[in-house]
Amino acid sequence: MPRIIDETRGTVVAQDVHLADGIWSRFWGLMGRRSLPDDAGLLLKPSSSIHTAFMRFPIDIVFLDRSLRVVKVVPEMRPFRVSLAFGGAHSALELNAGAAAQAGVEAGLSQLENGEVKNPSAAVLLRVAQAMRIDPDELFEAAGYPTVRTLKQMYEGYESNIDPDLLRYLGRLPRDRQRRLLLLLQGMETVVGDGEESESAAAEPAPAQDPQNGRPARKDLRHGAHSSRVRG
Amino acid sequence: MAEFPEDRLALAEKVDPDLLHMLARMSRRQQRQVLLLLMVVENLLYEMQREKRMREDLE
Repeated sequence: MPRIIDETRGTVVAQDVHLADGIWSRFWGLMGRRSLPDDAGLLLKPSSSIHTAFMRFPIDIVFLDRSLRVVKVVPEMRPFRVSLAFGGAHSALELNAGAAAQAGVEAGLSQLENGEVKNPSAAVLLRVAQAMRIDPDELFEAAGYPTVRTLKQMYEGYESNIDPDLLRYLGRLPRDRQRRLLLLLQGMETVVGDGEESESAAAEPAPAQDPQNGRPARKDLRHGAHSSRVRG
Repeated sequence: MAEFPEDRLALAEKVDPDLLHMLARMSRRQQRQVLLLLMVVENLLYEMQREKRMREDLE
């Protein structure tokens, strides 16, 4: 796990985070270590309580729920202490003392994400929209999320381009059959595409002919596909 | 009359969006052919099931 980011504030909490998700790795944690490298962290998963017995330096502890939302921050916890987190804590991130405050991590507000920086999550956008008192849909659309409005526009575009009888027919088919029909049509498209490719490859060295019957190989089909596409 | 497009919209929402996207790329003629194909297949399946049921009843 390369790094952990505070998605709400856009700050890097730890650059080099190790995951402790086994029994022994969680048991040992940072016990016996003299220090933690700068910008490093240890993510204990699952973990809703932390002790600092046999540790030699103070640490910050950030308790996270399953969706990596911060539920509790324990700053600068000294050795031989115990901390419990209630309210849905699922994992605990151990950091150098002061790192959580430096990154501005706060319980109930921060949302941590692992990996690279990416677009804000829907939850963050909703909170921002509420704080700024603006329409959340505008932020969702700006971030590329589908909204009821964009989906309606999309469906309006589809329904105006599709034969009404076909639409009525498809509307009463169950979803699994619709997906099977989609696979069938995609398969047919692939067959037509492959036919075009192989034909154009064969056409260069010699005139395209079916070796079995001597007729032009699938020329009519190709022509039909092309002409109908132009019309469409 | 004003409700008709809304009905069609409601119908479109019942259909898989990927399938709609694929069909929307086709020409109307090809869409009619897809409909014809579906109706033929449905009829064939109905006939096969009916025949199977008749055979089972005879046995």
